[in-house]
Amino acid sequence: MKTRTRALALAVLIATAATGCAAGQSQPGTAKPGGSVTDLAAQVVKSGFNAKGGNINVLMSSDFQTLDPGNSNYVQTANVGQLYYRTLTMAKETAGQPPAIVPDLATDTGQVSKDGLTWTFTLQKGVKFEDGRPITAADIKYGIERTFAQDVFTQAPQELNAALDAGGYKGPYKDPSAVLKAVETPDERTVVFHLKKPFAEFPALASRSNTAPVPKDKDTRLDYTNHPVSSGPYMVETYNRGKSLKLVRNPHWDPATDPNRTALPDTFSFSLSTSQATISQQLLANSDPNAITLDSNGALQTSDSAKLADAQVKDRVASGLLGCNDVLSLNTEKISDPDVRKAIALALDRQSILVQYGGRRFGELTQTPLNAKMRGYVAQELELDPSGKPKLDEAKKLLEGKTYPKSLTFGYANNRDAYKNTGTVVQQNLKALGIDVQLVPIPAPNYYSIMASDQLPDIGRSGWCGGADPASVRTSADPILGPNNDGTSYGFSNTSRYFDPQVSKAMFELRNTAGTSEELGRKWSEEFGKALKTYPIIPLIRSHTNSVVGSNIRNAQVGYFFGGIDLSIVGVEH
Amino acid sequence: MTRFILRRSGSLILLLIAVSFITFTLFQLGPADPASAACGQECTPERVAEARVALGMDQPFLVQYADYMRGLVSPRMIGAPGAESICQWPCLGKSFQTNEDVSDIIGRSLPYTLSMAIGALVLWTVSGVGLGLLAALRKGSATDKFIVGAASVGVSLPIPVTGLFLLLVFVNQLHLLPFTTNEIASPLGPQGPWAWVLNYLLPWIALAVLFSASYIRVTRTNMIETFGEDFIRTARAKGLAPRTVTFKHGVRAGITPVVTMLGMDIGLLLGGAVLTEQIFSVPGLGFTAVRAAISGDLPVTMAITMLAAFFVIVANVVVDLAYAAIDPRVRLQ
Repeated sequence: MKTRTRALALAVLIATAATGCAAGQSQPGTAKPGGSVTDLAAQVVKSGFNAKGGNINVLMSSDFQTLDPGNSNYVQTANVGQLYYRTLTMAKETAGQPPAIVPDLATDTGQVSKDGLTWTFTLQKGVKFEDGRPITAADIKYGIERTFAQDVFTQAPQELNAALDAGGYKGPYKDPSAVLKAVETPDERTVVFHLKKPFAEFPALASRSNTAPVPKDKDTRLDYTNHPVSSGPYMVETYNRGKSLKLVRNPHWDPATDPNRTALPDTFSFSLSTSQATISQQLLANSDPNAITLDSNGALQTSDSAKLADAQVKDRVASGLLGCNDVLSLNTEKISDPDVRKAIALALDRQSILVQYGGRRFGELTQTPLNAKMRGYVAQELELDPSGKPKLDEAKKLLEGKTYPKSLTFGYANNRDAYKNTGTVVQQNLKALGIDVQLVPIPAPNYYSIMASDQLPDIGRSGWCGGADPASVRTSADPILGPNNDGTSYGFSNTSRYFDPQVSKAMFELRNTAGTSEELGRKWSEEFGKALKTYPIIPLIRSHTNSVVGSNIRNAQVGYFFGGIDLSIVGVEH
Repeated sequence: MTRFILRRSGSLILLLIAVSFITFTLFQLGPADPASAACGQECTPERVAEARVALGMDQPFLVQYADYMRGLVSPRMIGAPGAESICQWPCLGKSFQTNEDVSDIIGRSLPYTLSMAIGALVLWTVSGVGLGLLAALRKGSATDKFIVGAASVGVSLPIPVTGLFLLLVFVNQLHLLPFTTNEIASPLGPQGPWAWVLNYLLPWIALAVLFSASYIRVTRTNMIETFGEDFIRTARAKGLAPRTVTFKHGVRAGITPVVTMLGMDIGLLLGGAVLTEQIFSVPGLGFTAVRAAISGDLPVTMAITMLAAFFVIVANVVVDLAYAAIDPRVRLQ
């Protein structure tokens, strides 16, 4: 699924994951060697490798929408982007865990003012573009300015921009004389951001591709995707749209300034039009020992699941938890009684829904879309059966004497069988409560816009991937159940239309509160927990993914955020 | 002949205009909205509005259509005001997904489709017509029954079954053939014609199994009918050699329905063999069309639809012309 963060989210989302199989060695602290096929722990394929050289073939079923850091909200581009652009900070992946925000082009993760409204970053010395020119604060600022030109870049990432006090700035093209006052560059190495409101997770926003430097004289607008000027360890050698991409070493990248990227292979060769079925067959058969894929869910078909345990395959499977959760949103305006919503939740056979997603290999049942590894997380459990069995008697008891809608619609994106099949399970389960459910297919590209419109179904699946900072409670909780910008109603991505005068007001006030991400995370957890107990959403699946790699591939881990093989550390035996 | 071609060319243009208008209209009436698709799950109304401008979808439907059609005969500007870029004639627009010129996408995809269609065409025509003729010549024999039986099986096997079976046996199990690669688009590439043959052999066979079955049946039926006609008896009575009677008189007269089928099938195949391209990972027009349709990429969908219509119509014209060359009884009016 396309996810911008959400698109990012979407892409990963759809990428429901499969559980882990054994791998060679584990990454310290997170993964473990070996492991059974039902073990959902993260597995890294043959870690600890540090030899440089060789080529990795990356098989993909379609071209990148764009390689332009200013016009991309897709996880695949963010993953490959690690190779050719750097940002002020970086989301450093560790299999199975939310990524850590670490300094990248900047010397640290930013200095915040006391009021939380100003963040200052200092660039490292010696960082250069692929042509040898030094990277300056002005290049960072220009990269950010471009992302405001949404009339040109329809997929420009907006999380960072939304936090800035940018007024009505519309980018550098429409009115070249306009100035982005929210970003200042007092000298060549300093970038200062002015925010509308405190945002404790700003270091994570600074890791977004908005802050990738772009030299103004090389900006070719929409054609920049054909050759983005590299600030990372690799640069574009050839790019045949829809066919192939070749990345070679950037001679001006200095590893001393970049501890986050190992840059082991000499080259990456992308094939951009191989069908998913062919990719999965090639990887399973190990027909190219140097191959990996960035496709969602490792390009694996549901029928491939059983093969992951084969002796010839199991040591070549990277797997791990993703930051993505699937939930069912209940339209709280239509199903207004919390007891009725709870009854619907209790009546669901979530075990059967997990089977529709491919079973335990593809995820685990959850009680909340938040993750215990988030900063400041406060435990919250609903009364759903942990194993997913329905509690029909309790559900019926809740409905005694209640007036509730006897007919509901279930909307699903028409690009995946599991979504429709989930609807069928819901349909069957709710019959027992006397509720007739009608299934409504929705075109996948417009699914979320319809969920945000007045045509939204009464029940609909939503996928959430952790927002701008997967380790933050706020960036997950706020988009799911938070209020709108003035705190008077539900937010535009809050597809259950949840709005409670007390809880929503508290969430609104938290947006204006300064503090650490951990402190605020605790408060967000508490408010989100209160909202969750009224069942505006029903948590379903926390996704896992598997990605098979060729037998020469080393250090293969699937990223919690990227949902695919992390290109910043992967290597190849040659 | 010239009048015939001119008349059919006029019809061709009118048909293409009709096809383009219908496709454009269906897209507008459909539920897909590329502007909202462009910004995803947190798409505010303001962002949708800006995306609509960027994609040129803020204009009234007829203005958009007129712009598109004008681009087919002259250069036009594409993009938001202040950030336009020129799209050279014949402008098929720019992809909503990747912002590439659609003509580049078509130019890239077409060689794959041509490679697949040409080889498959040769294979199924030779095998279909040859076996059909053999069955007709040995009507009622065990050979005839075997060929007709095999044809019945072939025509009832869908491409996904044949294709996956071929991949499983020849690529996965026996390793006799490689997985299809997008590095080989034509026999003139650096890998040479043999690599091209190996790359496309399985899709050719899959298509030939499906198509040749109906060619066998049609050829057999028509040839049996033709062999029973008076002019064949006359030819035999004149003492002509059996080979001359069969090929010069019989086949020439009995092959015309096969030519009609061939024309239609070539036209359809050039528009993109969707399933075959998907299964064998051939990034041709069908492969591209599926992705464009799923993602709501109107300019690419439009262009491939029109191209497919163009191929079908042109193939029909060629069939009409071929009739006259093959069968002297047919004369173009």
